[in-house]
Amino acid sequence: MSGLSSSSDAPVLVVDGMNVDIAVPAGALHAVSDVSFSVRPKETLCLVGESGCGKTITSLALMRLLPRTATLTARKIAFEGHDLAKISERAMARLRGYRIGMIFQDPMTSLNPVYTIGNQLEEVYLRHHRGASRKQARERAEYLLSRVGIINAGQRLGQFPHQLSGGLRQRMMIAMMLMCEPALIIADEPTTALDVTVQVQILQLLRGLQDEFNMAMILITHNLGVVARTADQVAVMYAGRVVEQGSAEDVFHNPAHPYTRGLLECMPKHGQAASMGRLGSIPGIVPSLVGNQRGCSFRNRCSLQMPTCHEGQIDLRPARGDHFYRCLLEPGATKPRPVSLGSAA
Amino acid sequence: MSALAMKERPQVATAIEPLAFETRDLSKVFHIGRKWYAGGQPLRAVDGVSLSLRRGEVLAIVGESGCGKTTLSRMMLGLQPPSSGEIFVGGEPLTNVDRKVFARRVQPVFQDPYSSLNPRKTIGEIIRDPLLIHNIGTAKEQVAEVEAMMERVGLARRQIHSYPSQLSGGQRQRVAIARALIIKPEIIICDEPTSALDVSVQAQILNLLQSLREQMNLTYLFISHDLSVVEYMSDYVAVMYLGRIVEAGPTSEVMNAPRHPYTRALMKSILTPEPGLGLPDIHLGRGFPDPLNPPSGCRFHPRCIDAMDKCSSIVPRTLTDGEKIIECHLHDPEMAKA
Amino acid sequence: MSTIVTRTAVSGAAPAGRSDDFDTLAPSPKALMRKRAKGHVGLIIGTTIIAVIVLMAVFAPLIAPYDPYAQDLSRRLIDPVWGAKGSWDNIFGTDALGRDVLSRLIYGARISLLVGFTAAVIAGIIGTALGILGGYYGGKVDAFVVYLINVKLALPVILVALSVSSISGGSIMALIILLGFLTWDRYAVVTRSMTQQMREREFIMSSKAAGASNSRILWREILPNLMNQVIIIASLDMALIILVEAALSFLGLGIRPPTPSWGLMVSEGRAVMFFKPYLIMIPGAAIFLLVIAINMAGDGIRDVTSPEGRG
Repeated sequence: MSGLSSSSDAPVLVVDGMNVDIAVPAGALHAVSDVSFSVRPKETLCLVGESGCGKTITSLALMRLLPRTATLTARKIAFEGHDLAKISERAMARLRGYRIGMIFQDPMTSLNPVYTIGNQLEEVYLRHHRGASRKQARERAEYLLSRVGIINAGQRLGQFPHQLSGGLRQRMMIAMMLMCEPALIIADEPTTALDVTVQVQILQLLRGLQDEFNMAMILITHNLGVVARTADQVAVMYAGRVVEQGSAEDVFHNPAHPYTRGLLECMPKHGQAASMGRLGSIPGIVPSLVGNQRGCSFRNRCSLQMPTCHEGQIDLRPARGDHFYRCLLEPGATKPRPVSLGSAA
Repeated sequence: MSALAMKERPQVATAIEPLAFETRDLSKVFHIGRKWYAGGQPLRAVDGVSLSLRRGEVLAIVGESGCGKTTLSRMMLGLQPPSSGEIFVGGEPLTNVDRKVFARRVQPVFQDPYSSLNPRKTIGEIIRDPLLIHNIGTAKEQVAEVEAMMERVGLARRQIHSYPSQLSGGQRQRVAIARALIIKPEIIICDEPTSALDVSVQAQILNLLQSLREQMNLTYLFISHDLSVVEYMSDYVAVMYLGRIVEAGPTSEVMNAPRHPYTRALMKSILTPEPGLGLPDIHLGRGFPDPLNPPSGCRFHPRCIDAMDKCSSIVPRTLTDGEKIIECHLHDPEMAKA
Repeated sequence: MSTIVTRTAVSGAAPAGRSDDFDTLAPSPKALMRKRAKGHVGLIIGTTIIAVIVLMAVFAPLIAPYDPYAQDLSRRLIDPVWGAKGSWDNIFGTDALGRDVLSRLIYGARISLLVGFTAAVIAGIIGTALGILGGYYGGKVDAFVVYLINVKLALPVILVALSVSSISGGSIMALIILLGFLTWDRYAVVTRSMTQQMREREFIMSSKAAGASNSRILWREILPNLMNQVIIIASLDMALIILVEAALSFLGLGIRPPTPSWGLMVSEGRAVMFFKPYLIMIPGAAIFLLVIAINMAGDGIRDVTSPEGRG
């Protein structure tokens, strides 16, 4: 899978054929199946999908923070010369928080309430910079807090997490992540709990920091508006698989997969009032991911399903250029008509 | 006809058709850290809110967290007594009456369908409860009513004996809607009814709410932070900032031509799914002010890019123009002259 | 794979009131509980032991081979059946007054269970009522409840039990009430904090908005959600009460002779404990077995009803 051609840098992260299976009493739950993507410096890849689609498991797998019952397999997860699927837990711990930064939806859960902000920021720095003095750490903490837009940074260092508002806490989490120099940020719903105005400000901040520090970002969200406005590349996930992947322009302007089209129709559009008709909806629910997965996982909710949708394995295939989708129909088809076998890639 | 009539001139509307609801100068003051020996610090969560709406219409309240919209909804539900001001439903005053009286006319649908249903009760028991509380009908009639209502909101009849943990988020929100509608209230307070749901389920619930409104002639007070949902759902919108309505009017007018600088920032922060536009510049100062120490003059002035000198000293007047309300010196002709 | 019935997607105008996902029904919480209970060894062993002891107590007159009060000084201190001079006539032997130990043990189960169960129920009612009221109403009510809890926590339980029972003079009723009033604090602390958390939940708000009275909310909405926890505390409390009753009886301040009580039996065996150790070991083992069984069952109930709240 190739990234955007506009960025000439080598990818920071290349994920190839990643699977995550979770052992449950009834068998193996295929939480993530055959996910491949790559991100380059300064580039943002958005993983988008509804709850249970596997986007969060994908991010946890990259951080190797999966629950014990889960098994991760991949042809390759290449990051700075390491294969994240194979390196030892100790080597992974050195990368986590140092070369790979994380931001979560609720900063309160990742901050320790009994330590001051300054203390926690310095701790991150000192853990990964042996021999650095506490003074150096404090200087960097103060610089980064003001860089992420926190006023009176020096004074804030002495405060505790609960004394900050949601927006400030998220800024602080970003500063904490920057204490080392991550090449890759994994942000899981970083703005979902925030007000709309704060959301825009935080996303802008992340965008600016990406350019300044040359970082790649994997942004996980269910909000299609956030995706459209921040993503260079988009991967739409459904039932543990990527069903459509490509540049934001391709995916939003020419959605190839029926699921992507359905999601876009569900969103109220600017200028659309209820008197003008109902919103589109996708009936049905996500299928069980336990056991053998055959055919298209979206078929039971798809208005275009055909008999062939039940069979075999459906691979990602190109719609146009770097735009891929996982469907037997022509890209963007509105009628159920199987493509001839010859034209499938 | 003024739907968002100010208290100076509501009589015109009431004479012809009683307003579905009306609040007059509604305020709620909390006393933070109050002990029996000390008064505590006053926090004006809602400060002089006057709103009204006709039957069958939808009024949306938007604003950041902490702006007072939840407190306003709690007062509208009779769960918290106002510190001052009055609430009228269908022309009758409902201020400081028993919550049982309130319940017959105003019902809520809350944000989180995972916490709004008692996990120890079956779906049937949950939906039937209001009928038992108000002693409506015989047991047989109540069950029939519950089944009819379940069908109406799109639940299968056999789910009557299931527990909330057996349902999906969307189905639970349908249960919450059925419970709210079973005693046939006039007004539904929807407090972020879809923000905990997935996009595809959100669309189903919004569609359901719209159909029920049309069928049952319901009036909605729709509280949300998602402005694209507000635009889709509402006829009127009121923007709250630190307990006050700073701008209100018909949704299409407010959304297309916002006048208050805060409304403008809110509208700019809508992220439509249009790639290539990038992130908007919303021109808004950071930091929600401390509600315990609200800024002097116009409460919004520290974050306002158009702030003038007088904004920090003079409190802006409430100006009404037909159905529109605005509180801003920029739109006050007298202030512009001075 | 799932068994979802396929429907056609209607884009634009979905018919109102049509749920799209009513074809999957997860197992009910009760079914899940039954399933977990079947696989829980501790719960099965604990409840089996308790059931045996309860049956023993209920059918004591039918099971007991002798009258537990009948003294026969000619048959004093006979060894149990495994002892040197033991016989099958008195399986657990006889005590210093020639009474059959097995019969006294069977009748003693009545006392232990009666005292343990009733006192735990009294404590549960007092503690849960105080906890719910304090947690729900807050303010001055809560301050009063917290004050009562603090007073209770400052009382030395055994010492108060000793002094009060020495005054009240050994009636079982007095003992039960005393133990009930001495162990309600755990219920109050737990139910108070649970109610505080629940008070802000939206289902309580919904019920209030539906016009429910406070007492209805307390009884119908909050209490059912506390029952699991209350039952778990009750099991721990019952075990504690049985031990305290045994201790008081042992010290001569609980059940008065000649009533058969396990604690009293240990006490009576004390005089001859060096040459007839079985006289204290048998009732001691019975107390141990019952307390362990109750704790196992309590742990089991917790695991089965709220597996997420473990640890």
